[in-house]
Amino acid sequence: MMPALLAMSIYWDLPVLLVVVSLVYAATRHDRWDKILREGLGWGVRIAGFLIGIGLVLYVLSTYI
Amino acid sequence: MASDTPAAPLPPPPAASDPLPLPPPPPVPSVIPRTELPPALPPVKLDYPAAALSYLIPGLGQVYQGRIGKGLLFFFGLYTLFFYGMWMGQWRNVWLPDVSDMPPLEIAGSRMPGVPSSLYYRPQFMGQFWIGVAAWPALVQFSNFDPAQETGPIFGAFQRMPPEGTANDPPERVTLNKLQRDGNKRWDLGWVYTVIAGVLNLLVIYDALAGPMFREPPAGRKPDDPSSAS
Repeated sequence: MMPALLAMSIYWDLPVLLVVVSLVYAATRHDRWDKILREGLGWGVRIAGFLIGIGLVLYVLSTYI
Repeated sequence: MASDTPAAPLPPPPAASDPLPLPPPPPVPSVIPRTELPPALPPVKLDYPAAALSYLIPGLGQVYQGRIGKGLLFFFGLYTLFFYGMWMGQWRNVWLPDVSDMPPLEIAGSRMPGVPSSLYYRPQFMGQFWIGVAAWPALVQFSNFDPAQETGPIFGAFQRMPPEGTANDPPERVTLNKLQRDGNKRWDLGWVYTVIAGVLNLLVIYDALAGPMFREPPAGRKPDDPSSAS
């Protein structure tokens, strides 16, 4: 799995999307920076967890089934 | 003249251990007094000029309103996402197609030429458009499209519909077939990034128009401090 991850992959482009979407969406909900950063971190963790979970499911399906 | 009727005996004094009689409870008001509610936020004032500025350039409306930090966050965040997506697509994934040689879109029996048909064939541009002036070269290319030329009049090949390509194309010619075949999915993921950037700017435009979803009370007023209500 590691060589596949280290290769030039679309997965390396995902952090840009994750960070921008989390921060911009949080900033449209609040004006105070502490709330923006806290909510942005929360969204980032949730989106990353979702993506990692989907990735693991697809990896297991493609490897063992 | 003294009366013969004996006076009524006085009640015995309360013992030291007896509890004092409690005063009756105050009546419960049926309506909570206004002073005990948190102060109401002022009504939302819609700022149309700021919304228009945030459409043109993400975050410009917030800078115009004095919310400079948020404006810069929107500007750098959304332009990073939009141009990163264009870079992933080799700068050839934002365009409005010329459909003069394609069957036009038909709605309820009537043909829809021009922009509606173009959006039917390239619906991604409905999201990309909302990034503002960064997507306007696609409109210029669309309005000046000449199928006999490889580039447009002002922007060259930038945001111009790539040729579909044939089997006899030279390898250096950038065609839609080549981009999709050799792009390792990054060309497709790139236009997704540009669409997300445009759609996120709709939220930024609304933030400039009506403020954030959760508003803060004005400075000097706390929601739990009735004495600060004016």
